[in-house]
Amino acid sequence: MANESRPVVLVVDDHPDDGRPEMDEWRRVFSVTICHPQDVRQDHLVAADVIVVDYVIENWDERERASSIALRPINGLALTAVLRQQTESIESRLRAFVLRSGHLAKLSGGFPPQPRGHILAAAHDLEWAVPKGERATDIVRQIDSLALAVRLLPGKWPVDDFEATRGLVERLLALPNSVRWSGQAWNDIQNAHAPIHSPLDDLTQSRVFLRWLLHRIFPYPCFLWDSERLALRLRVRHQSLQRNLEGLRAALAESEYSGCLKNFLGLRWWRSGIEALLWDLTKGEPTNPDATREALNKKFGVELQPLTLKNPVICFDENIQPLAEPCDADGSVRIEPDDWPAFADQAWTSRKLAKEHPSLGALVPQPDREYLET
Amino acid sequence: MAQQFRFEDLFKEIKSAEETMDPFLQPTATEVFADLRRQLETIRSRPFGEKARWEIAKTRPLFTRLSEGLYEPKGRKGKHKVIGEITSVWEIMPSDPKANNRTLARTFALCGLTSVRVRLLEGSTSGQVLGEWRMEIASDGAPGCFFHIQVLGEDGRNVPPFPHSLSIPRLPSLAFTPMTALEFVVGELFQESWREHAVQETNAMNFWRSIQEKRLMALLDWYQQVIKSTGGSPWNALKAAVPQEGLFL
Repeated sequence: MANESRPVVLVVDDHPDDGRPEMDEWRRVFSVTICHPQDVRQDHLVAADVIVVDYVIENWDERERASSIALRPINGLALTAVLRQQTESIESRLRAFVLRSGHLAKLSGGFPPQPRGHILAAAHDLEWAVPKGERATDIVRQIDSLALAVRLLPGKWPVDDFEATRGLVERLLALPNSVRWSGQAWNDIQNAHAPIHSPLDDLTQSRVFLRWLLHRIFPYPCFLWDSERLALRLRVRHQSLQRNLEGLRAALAESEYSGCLKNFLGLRWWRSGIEALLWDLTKGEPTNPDATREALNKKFGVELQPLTLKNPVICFDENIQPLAEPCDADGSVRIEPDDWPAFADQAWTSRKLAKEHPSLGALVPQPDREYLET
Repeated sequence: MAQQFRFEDLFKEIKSAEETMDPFLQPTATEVFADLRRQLETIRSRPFGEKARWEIAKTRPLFTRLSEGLYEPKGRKGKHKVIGEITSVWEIMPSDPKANNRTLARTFALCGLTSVRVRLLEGSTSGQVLGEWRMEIASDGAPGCFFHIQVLGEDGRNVPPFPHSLSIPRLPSLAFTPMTALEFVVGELFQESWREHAVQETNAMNFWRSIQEKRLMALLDWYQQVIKSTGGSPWNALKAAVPQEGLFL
C-alpha cells in the first residue's frame, strides 16, 4: 500500500538516468521510483499510485532477445497494457497510468498534442498523457492530483442503492449539500452522463468514473466551468477576471470545485453555483450583464472590465483551441468537433476562421453553412 | 394559486424546440436557449413562493432565419424578407412545497406578467418592424380570453393604433409558452418548409409532439367543458372562463 502522506509515482523509462532535473522537481512532491522496463517488480506496482510510462522504448536488450513477439511490448502503450493487467491481478486497487513522451505529436494526428491530453489518453486506454521535459509545474500538479484521486476513489461501490451512490458521488465531487443549488448540480451531473448506473466490478467502476472526469468533464464546459467560461458568463474580460480572482475569492468560494481532481486543469466552478450567485447578486436579473458586473464590482471592491460584445461566445481555432478573446455570435458559426460531448455548452468558431481552414469548416453543421457562403 | 406548469415539461419543450426548429433559427438561438434553460434551472432552486422573472431578454432575442417571402403558401413568394424576433417575460414562482436542496421543485405557478412578444422585422435583425403582437396568459381581472393574443399595445406605447391604454382586443390563442409562440412564428414565416419539416417523424419531433399534444388536449378539453357546462352565448362563456390551476399538470 502506498505511503499515505506522499503520492508514490513509478516512472518506467528505457533511459532511467535521463531527465534528472525534471525528476528532482517531481521528488519534491512525490516518492519517485524510476525503473527500466526490465527492472519493474511487483512491489513497485503495488506501491504506486501513478505509473508513468515512456512512449518510445528502444533501449531494451532483453526484449529484443525474447523469442515470442507477444513478449515484446513495442512501445510504452503496449507496456502500459501489460503493467495495468499485472497490477490489477496483484491487488484490486486503482492506479492511474500516464504516458509521458517527447513524441506525443506522433499520436495526435497532426494536432498539437497539448492541451489535448484527454483525447490522446481516451484513445489509448490511459488516464492521461503528458509531454516529456516540459512545463514541470503543470505536470507535477496533474500527477499529484491523479495520485490523490486514485486514493480517494472507493474500493467498493454501492449496488442497487441510488441514494448511496448519489451520496458517494457527491462526496467525491465535494458537492456541498447545504446549498440551495445542490439539487440542480446533481441534475447537471446526471445530464453529463455520470457513469454510475452500469453494472461493473468495483475497480472498473472507479476507473470509468475517474476517466469520465478526466476525459469528458474537465476539458469541456459543462457542469463545471473554467475561468474563461466564468468570465464569459459574467460578461467580463478574461484577463480582468484573472486579475481580480483573489478579490472575488469570497464570492466564488461556495461555487469553487474542490472535489476529486480539483485543479487538475486549473480552477473550476460549479455552473449552477455561479448561476445562483448571480441570481442573488442581481436580485433576480441574471441576464443583465451590467447589473452582474456592477454588483460584483460594488460588493467586492473589484474592477471587472466589461465585454462589449452583444452576444459573446468562445470561439475555437483550427486546432480546437480557444481564441484569446471571445467573438460575437453574430459573426460566428457553431462547430461540432468529434470529441465534443453533447451535454457540453455549444462550441463555436468565427466565420472567418471556418472559411480559412477547411478542416474547421468541415465541423460546421449543415444549418450554419449558409453563413460561410456569403 | 394561479395557473401551474411542470418545470420538466418546459425543459423538455425548450430542448425539443431547439432540436426541431434549429434549421429555421439563427445560430445565436443556441445561446438564447441555453440562457432560458439556465434561468429556469436557477428558479427551480429558489424557495417555494419566491417570485422570479423568466425571460428572453430584449437585449438578447431569439431570431429566426430570414424568410425570403416564404410566408406565402403554395410556392408563392411574398414581397418582404422577414426575420421573426421573440422575446418573453414570465413572472413565476416555485410552487412545490415539498422541494428542498436535494429534491428539485416539480412545479411553478404564474404570478404576474406572462407575455411573449413577437416582432416581424424587415430584412435584418435591426430592420423595420413590420408587425408586432403578444401571446399571453391573462392576469386576474383582465378583459377577454384567458389565453390570448394582443396586437401591439406594449407597455410604453402611447400612440395609435393599439396604444397600451387600449387593453382590447384579446384574441383567443392556443399558443402561449415561449416555445409554442416560436413554433407559431416559424410556421408563419416558413409556410411550406415548416409544414414539410413538422410532419417528419424524427425523435425530436415526436418528443415535441408528445408535449404539445398533452397540453393542447387539456386546453381543448377544457374549452369543450366550458361550452357544455354554461348557458347563453358559448363565446361569452369562453371569454369569461378561467381554467383550474392544474390544467396542465
